[in-house]
Amino acid sequence: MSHFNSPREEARLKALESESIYILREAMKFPRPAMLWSMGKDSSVMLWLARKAFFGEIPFPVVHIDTSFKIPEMIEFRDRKAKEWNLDLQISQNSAALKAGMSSACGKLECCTALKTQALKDFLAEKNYKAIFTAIRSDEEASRGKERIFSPRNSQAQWAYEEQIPQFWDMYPSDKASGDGHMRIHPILRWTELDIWLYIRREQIPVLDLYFSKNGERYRSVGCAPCTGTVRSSANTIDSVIEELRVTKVGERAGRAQDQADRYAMQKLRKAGYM
Amino acid sequence: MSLRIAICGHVDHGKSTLIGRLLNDCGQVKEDRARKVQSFCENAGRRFEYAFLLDGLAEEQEKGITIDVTEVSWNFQGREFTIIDTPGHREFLKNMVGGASRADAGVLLFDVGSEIQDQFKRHAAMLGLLGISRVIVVLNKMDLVDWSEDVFFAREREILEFFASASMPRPVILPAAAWMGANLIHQAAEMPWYRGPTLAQLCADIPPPKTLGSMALRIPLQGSYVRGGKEIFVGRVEAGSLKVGDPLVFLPSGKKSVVASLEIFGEPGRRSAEAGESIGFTLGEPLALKRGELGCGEAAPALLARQLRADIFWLAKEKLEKGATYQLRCGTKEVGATVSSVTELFDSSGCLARVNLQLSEPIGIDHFASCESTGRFILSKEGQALGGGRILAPEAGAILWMTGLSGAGKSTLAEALEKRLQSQGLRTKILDGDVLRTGLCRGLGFSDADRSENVRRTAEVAKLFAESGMVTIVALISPFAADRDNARLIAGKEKFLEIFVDCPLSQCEKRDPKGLYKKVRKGEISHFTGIHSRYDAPGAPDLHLRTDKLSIDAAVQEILGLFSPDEGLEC
Repeated sequence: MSHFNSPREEARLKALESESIYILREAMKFPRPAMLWSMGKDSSVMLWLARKAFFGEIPFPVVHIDTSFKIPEMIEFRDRKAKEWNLDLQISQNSAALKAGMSSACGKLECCTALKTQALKDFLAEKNYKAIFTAIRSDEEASRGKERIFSPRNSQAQWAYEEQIPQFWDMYPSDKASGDGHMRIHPILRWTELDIWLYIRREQIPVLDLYFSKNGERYRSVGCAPCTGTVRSSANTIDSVIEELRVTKVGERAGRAQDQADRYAMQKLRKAGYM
Repeated sequence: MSLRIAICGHVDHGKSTLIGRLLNDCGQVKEDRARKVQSFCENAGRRFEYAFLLDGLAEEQEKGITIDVTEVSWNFQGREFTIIDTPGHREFLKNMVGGASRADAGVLLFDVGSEIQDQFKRHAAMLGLLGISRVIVVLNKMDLVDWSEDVFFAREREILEFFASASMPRPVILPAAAWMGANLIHQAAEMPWYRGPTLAQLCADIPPPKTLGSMALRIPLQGSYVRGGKEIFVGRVEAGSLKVGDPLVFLPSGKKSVVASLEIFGEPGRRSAEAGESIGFTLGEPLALKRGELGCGEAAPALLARQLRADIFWLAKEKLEKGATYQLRCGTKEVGATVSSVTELFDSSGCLARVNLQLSEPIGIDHFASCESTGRFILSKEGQALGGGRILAPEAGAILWMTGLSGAGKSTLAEALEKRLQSQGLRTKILDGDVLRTGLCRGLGFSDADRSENVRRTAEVAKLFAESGMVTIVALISPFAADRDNARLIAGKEKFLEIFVDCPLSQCEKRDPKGLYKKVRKGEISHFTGIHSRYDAPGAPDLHLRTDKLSIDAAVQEILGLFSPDEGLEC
């Protein structure tokens, strides 16, 4: 097992990193940007890239949409890193829906829509953020494969995926293109799951322990406790996770229950404003 | 980095199917995604649809079309590729161009049994316009023409003729049947007459994109951040390299400084950065520089342009019209751009054209042929891109007519300008008044009539040079407005730009590079312009340069800005 990235992998990571930093800096044209952080591996890499792009001082708030169903370890990780990295951490929760008893038992798509999409929409409306960084990747799932680096949402946070605006080279649209809605900005859209882990290894980025095998199982993708399953795996280090990804035939979100709720579940969720 | 290949072509010619099959045959499809497609196809009672591995939107699967671009990774023989699946429908052309704009090479699919349609030609032309010179044409669906050698070669000939007639580089052409995998990874047994490489092999043989490290430095500024009391400028090195100690000049401001330090978080002490890197840097002396300035190596700066000649693609529903104003972005700089003329349409639907643009203020640019990333631009409205284009080099053949008092700086400017134009690969000729009077115009004196004849002869010679494709720089006092107007008439179709090299008489006399003013004051020369003889300052010159206020470099930049994009005459 190799503990180092190959020269070709290094060259690829360098190019991806440079593009992501370029995107993050381009987004500063927008008034009031903010970054979503779920403490998962992808948004943690995005956060790391933002620290690099802005020389250790991230010039916008970092937002956690807290469904209250997150795995406790994630919350502990969040608070520890927010302090260490001096983040302007903001937490948003759809407390009305929670009070009314919303949970995945009410329906997976309904739960995601209320506790994630609605919580995000309320938060954007309340704070008037015009640009939101999210750490989606195009290889995760089919509808994310259709995304643009800069992707406008209307005032209802809806995604017009049938009629996306043109984007050439890396000259991205301005805030006028999102009108009275907001712009979703996807700095790591072109990274693959393997890229993420190779970069975590290269940069020694701290990640949740949940990603590493305990008793023959590990989380490959992390979300809410009720809807996130583990995969059978003996990978208990970054190196062994990387080796596993090189050979696996199983998709990354196979353990995410909301994806399986409907054939086009993610497309439907995302059209309505989901990440 | 992986080689990026855009898959283009008309709708239903098999693009998504080809990609799905390619991944499948290389064992690079995730099982759960394949299972999803399989169960869907079984339920619908149809054969396994490779295209659905890419077309992930519900609308795409239901209608069996590609609406928007998908990118997937593909590995072959240890080489990494990014395959960009683009839609074929006319109405999704904007998505196709967006996807192809990120590609290094293109694969154009064509249903071998159909006629060559506009959409195929349009996609081919788009690839050409985007600067993608490596194109592989796949003549697909060979199974539907019984693997016929004759059909293949007839179609191949037509396609080669089309590419040649459009002055596009000759593509490689191969026969295939994508849904069966024939000639994708494996040689098709059904076509023993084809002995060329498979598609995968052709892709593997594409040379890597050229490196940009040896070019002159270009770094468009994205902005700046103050950290630890220092102002750090940020941007991506688009060409060349940047090192501590390098002298830089920024355009359009013309400000100069030296790189004091490189600022890359987590890598203290870095001394140099290469093309492609997103970096920060500090400067030796504090300069107020805004987003949009183009940082250049001082030895080989970009051009300062106020007008552009460009080939563009236009994707908006509204027509591109003369007189309309859009927002133009080149590098990180945004300015207003008015369409001063549309000189050629390459496409029946108006989506490809050659235009001239007048900018609201000068910006730093390169010609696309010398630096792609600073030689292209987008046009937008309301923050949305409507089209884009590449900046063309000036058309050779022009007369730059410099008029002004003796000592105003005409000859000095002409020489400096010639050097810059020649460095851009242009052929130039200087016609200097003093030199002409020793030959062509020997025998002419300084009477009004002789002066007119002097200007007339010079104009006639300038025209001959311009006609032969040379940039002809005339440095001649040419004091009378009527004579200069006549020179413009003589130039006829050739481009004629009047440049007023303006400097107050007292300053010219102080400079007195040839000692003429001294002789005038001693009474040794009569009929001297500005003293005994009148000088008509141009009323509306193409450019007015105050050489008492401008440096030579700055004046040359202004001329290049006026001239390099070539137009300004026919608007």
